[in-house]
Parts: sequence; structure tokens; C-alpha cells
Amino acid sequence: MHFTCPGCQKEMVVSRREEAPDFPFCGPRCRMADLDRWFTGDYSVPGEPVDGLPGDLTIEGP
Amino acid sequence: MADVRENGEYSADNIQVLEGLEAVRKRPAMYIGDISDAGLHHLVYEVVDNAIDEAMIGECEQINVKICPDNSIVVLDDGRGIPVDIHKTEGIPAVQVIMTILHAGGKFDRSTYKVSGGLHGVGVSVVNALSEWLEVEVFRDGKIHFQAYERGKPMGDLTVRGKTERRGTRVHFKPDADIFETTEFHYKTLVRRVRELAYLNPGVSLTLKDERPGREQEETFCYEDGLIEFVRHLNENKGVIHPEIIHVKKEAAGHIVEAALQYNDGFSEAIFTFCNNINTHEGGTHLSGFKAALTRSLNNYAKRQVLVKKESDIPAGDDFREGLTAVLSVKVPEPQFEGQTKTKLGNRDVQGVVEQAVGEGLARFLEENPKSSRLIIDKAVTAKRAREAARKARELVQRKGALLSGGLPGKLADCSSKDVNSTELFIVEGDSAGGTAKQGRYRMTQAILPIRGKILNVEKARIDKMLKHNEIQTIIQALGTGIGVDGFDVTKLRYGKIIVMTDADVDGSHIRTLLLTFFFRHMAELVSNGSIYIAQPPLYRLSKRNKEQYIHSEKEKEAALLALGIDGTVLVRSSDGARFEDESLAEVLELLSSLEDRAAIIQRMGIMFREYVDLRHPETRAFPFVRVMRGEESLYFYSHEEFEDYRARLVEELEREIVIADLGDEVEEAPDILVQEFRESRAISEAVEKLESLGFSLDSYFPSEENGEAVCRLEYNSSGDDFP
Repeated sequence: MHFTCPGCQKEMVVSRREEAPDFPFCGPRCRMADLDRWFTGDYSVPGEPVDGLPGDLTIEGP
Repeated sequence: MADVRENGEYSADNIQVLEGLEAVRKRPAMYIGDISDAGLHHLVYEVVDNAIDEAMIGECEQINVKICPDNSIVVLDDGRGIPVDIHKTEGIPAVQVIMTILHAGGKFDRSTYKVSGGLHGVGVSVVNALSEWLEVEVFRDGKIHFQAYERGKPMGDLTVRGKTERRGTRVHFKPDADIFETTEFHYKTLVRRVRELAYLNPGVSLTLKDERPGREQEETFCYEDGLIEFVRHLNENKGVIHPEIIHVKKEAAGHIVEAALQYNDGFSEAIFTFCNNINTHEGGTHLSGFKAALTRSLNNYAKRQVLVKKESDIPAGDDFREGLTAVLSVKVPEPQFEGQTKTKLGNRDVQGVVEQAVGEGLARFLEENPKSSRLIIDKAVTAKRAREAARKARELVQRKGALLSGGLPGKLADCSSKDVNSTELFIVEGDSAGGTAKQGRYRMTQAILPIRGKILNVEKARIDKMLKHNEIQTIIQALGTGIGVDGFDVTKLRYGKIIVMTDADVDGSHIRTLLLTFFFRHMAELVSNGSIYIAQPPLYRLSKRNKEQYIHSEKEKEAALLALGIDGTVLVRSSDGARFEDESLAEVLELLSSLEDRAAIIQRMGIMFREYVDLRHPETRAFPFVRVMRGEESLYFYSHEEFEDYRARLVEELEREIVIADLGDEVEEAPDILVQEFRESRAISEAVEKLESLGFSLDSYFPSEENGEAVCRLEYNSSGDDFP
């Protein structure tokens, strides 16, 4: 399994899902730091720009 | 050779001397900490430290430590050799004074050694007192001077044993088994200290040799880069955050401050502090100064470079020390040691000196290495956030116990069934949501948690959607699972299904995206075991008479309305009276609707649909596929091949490759031609041809003002009441 930690962008490669207990994060530190962003309301979905063109549906941090 | 007895000066002073060493033997722990392993090995450190003192003033380059087969120890250095001349006040050779009188080391005379290690100056006399036997050889002035002792008492005078060209001191001793619980030395323990001393004293070579049968080994340590190599060694096999090892060295107010540090991707803090080569396990003033400088410098830098945006994200001291590997070494003229094991530096003035030196050095590094600095700050911010999250996650669970309602959020309309498998939690967002859902639910198994989104206007460029404050916490509480590393427990889930129900508009889909992202990141088990659902509420309810239909999308709505409109309607063409109804009418309307969609796209490209239609090829009846602008001139091509032919001709004409750009693109090079592609041309052709085959001309698409006569008229019959 191959994934990118959403916290530090580290590329992770594990042979089994069990080897990544903090999936999709690289480890507990990135998990908890991300959790705090949820707690503090740092995450938002970019919406429609004011000029009317549709925005990207990507999630982004502060 | 002077001897106390010969001189007839067997005075009270000398008796005190013996009493002094006798006291050491009576209460050894007072001098060396304890009489177990630690104390035993301390004897070696004490002797080695004397050699290091010589090294610190540049008089010694090589120190050899040897564990002999009988567990006695030899320490040999190439320093100046302990003085052998008669001591002014004691009247015996200086080496004998040092070996037999407590606190008699040269280190108490500041003119000899500016700074010195050793165990708080108790000196080698303690080693002598606690040894079954000790032999000292001094290589000095071309002679080998020798004296032997037993349990601290000289076994004869200092004698010259021969000639030598070398210089230095050799001390050979065997710890007294009457004193120590164990007299077995550990190579591993000694090698750690020997290596440490090599790091702390750059350029000095230290060799440790074990001669005990079956355990023979030898290692030599010498580091030119001292503390830098120490940190490199400590961070070996660890992922480092930045490549450089930060190094600070400053001499101020008679103190020497040196530090080396580097961050690794671990979470623990490893700061080793030394004062005059003594490992200050308990820290002290130098460590306080170092920590203060670290926190202050990094925070100042983070604020100045705006790497930390929110006040609440400013890391604390602990956060800046996560993953930090550092070695701090100070050389202080008169160190005061405090604490349980006398390994805590007490000199007040050292704190300020260290803080300033380290602060200056760090600030310089940060300015010169912005990339690494950023990584260090980011790591600390992450540490801070993780700490905050862990605290909040704990609070969420603790609050649960404190409230009568079982810690459930106030706005949760819970279900009455306790059978987890049959229950559903609807997380509902949007205007229509909360109230209606609560009214329409089946109380037994369906719970409703209304949450609110919030609009965030980011610099007025766009309107972002986010969750309102504390909504995530509310969801976690309602689910009952807890959250975070070691905090999330899927078996505590209070519902069988979690259903995300948001409005079927763009805002709703944004909130849904947020929630699903949260579940995926922090409750992945719920996603993988299929507990998360998305409700798709209908957009419209279409009702006619007593019939109802729910519509889930705009497209579905159009189709339904069209069908509704067609039902019972007849389109009559004026020119020939042709009648279109049911399927044939649906086909005409579908073609017109399709054409209308394409027309809108063409219009959006900046061309009136009427103009575009007029460009229809007179012979092939095709519509333009691409528009080419070359200077003022506009050309239209009706197929890809035609355009390629043109391009080839132009290349030939200009005798070079041509630069093509799409209209509206930003280009670096001035293009030869601009192209505008009409991707709708084929679909327009198809729709128009089909309409024509049904007898409608393209002209009739555009209402003409001159002849107001209608192309068609509609007739209705009244049979069509039902939905198709």
C-alpha cells in the first residue's frame, strides 16, 4: 500500500494496512496535529470565487 | 627524597592527612556517591579527569586506559607529569601530597588550571584511599619516579627507577574489595565515558583496552569536530529534520560555552550537558540558559518570518525540544555542584552567559538557513498542535463522565433503542435539515444531530465553507468513540449507521466533503467497515393532482418537466401542418434543448450563435471546427485535416516552425497564430441535421422580427393527466 501522509506529505509504503496504524498519517504526531486543526476549525472547503467561476473541491489547511 | 619521618616532622598535620583518608574509607559514599558499580567506575573517571586537565591546557594528546586481567586499572597520559619536587608547606613530594591529602589537587590553584574537571576536587587521593594498592609512575625531567601505596598509605618513599625520554603520568590501581560491593569493571560503562571525553575534548585521543581473558578488545576515540561529531553520533540511524548540525562556541566572562544541536524526527528530547567535562545529569543553570535561549530565539524568528500565524499556535519550550538532540558543554573556573548526585550546576552567572551565547549563535543560524529554520519551526508547531489535540481529546471524554446526560451534546435528538446494530445517526446540515428531520424520524432507531456550517470569506476572493466552532467535538461526543491516538475505540460506537445528510447544493456537498474527510482521517475504521452513509435527499418534489414524484437532480427535473409538458401536447408546424406529439415531439424538444445548450457554450466563447451558424460551410454544411487568427485576419476551418493543411502551408511559407497559442492563453513568445477551437461543432452539426431531417430549417431556430409569423403552434388535449 502506498500513500502520502496528509500532515507532512511523507510518502509511505507498507505491505499491509496493519503496518500503518495511523493511516492515512505517517504516525501519531501528524495524526494529532491534524486533529487539532479539526478542533480549531482550520479546515474549510474553498467555495465559489466571488467572480462566479466554480472553485476547486479540494480540502486545504490554513 | 624527603620523607616525613626523616625530616622529623611527623606533625599533627600529617596525622590529619591519614585521618582524612581514613574518613574516606569509613564513608566512601560521601566522596564517590556509592560503593556499587557507579562508585567503582567513578575511580577511573577521577584518574582520567586528571589527564584531561592536562589536555585542556594543551599539554596532553594521548590518554590510555587499560582494564588489567585482575580488574586493576592503568591510566597513562603524555602530559607534563605530576610534579615531584618537595611541596612547600607539606615538606613531601608534590605527587605524594596529591595522592594522600584530600582536596590537594593542583586544580585548587587557579593559576595551574583555569578550569578543571574531577569529582568536585576530591581528587585522586580518594582513589588511592579506596584502592587495595596503587602505584604511580611519573615520567618527568628524563626520569621515572615511582611510589606505591596500600589503602592510601605510602609503601616507601618516591624513588627514581630509571631514565626515560617520555613524559606523563601512569597510575595503576586496584579497587579495594573490602570497600566495594563489586570490583568487576564493565567495558561498556567505561567506553561510554571515554568516548564522551573524546567528544568533549576535540583533538585528544583516548584509548580503552580490555586485557581480561576472553574479553580482549581495544578502541581509540579522537574527534577533531568534538561536539558536532557527538551530536552526529547521537542522531545516527535517526531521521534528521535538517542536514546541518548547529554549532555555537563563545568565550565570555572567563567561561567557555559550546553547544551543538540538531533535530530528528523523533519525539524525545536528548540534551546532554557538561560542566568542565562532568556530565551534569541533573542539569542546572547552564541548561536553563540553553533552554531559555532556544525558546526565545526560535519564537522570535517564527514571529518575524510569520511562520506562526495564530497566537494559539505559538509553541512552548517543550515543543521546541521535541526531537532535539543537543550537547552543551561549559567550562567554568569555579563550578558549584548541587543536587542529589552533585551533578547539577549551581553557578548563577552561567545562566546568562549561556543564554546570550546560544541565543546569538542560534539567531545567526536561523537567518542563514531559512529552509532548515522553517522545518524546525514547523516541527515545533506540529508538536504544539498535537499536544493541544491530545488535551482536548481527553477533555471530551472526561466531560462525558461529568454530565448527567451521559455527556451527549444538547442538540442531539437521540433514539430510544439501545441496540446499536439497528440504530442510525443522521448528521444533518443545512436550512431544511434539523427541524424537518426531527419531525420525520422514527424515534426508536433514528437519532438526529444537527450541525451548522459557516461561511468564511477569505480575502473576499471566494466564499469558503467550514464547520462551525466545536461541531467536530459535538460529533465525536455523539458517536461516543473518543478520538485520537489511543483515544478512538470503535467498539464504543453508539450507532450502527452514521448517515451524513446535507443539502443537495454546492454548500451541502462542501460540508459533506469536510465530514467525510474527517471520518477518513480520524475514524478510518468506520469508513472501512462500512458504517458511514451519505443520504441523498431529493431536490424537488413534483406533484400534480394527487401524484407525487421526487427529483434528485437538475437533469432529472428537466426530463420530468419535459415529459410533463409533452403529455397531451401537439406541435403543429405552420408551413406544412405536420404534427408532432408523444415520441416525435420529445425528439424535437430534446434536439432543441441540446442545441440550446451548445449555443450557450458558443456564446460564452465570445461569438453570437447567429454569427456562428452563418459560418456554416455552403457545400459540406459543416460548422466551423476551429478559428485561426493571424494578425487581423480570421480564418475558419471545418475539420482537423483542413487545419493541418493550413498549418503545413504556413510552415512552408515562413520556412520555420510556427508558434501556435490558444486564444486567451498567456504566452511567453509572440505566437504566429491564435486558435480558438469549437469543440461543440460536431454536436451542433448532428442536432441541426436531425432537425432538418424532420423538416425544420435552421433559420426557424431564430425568431425573425420581419415576419412575425410563428413557425409552429401548440395544441393541447386534456387526456394527459398522469405522469409518464
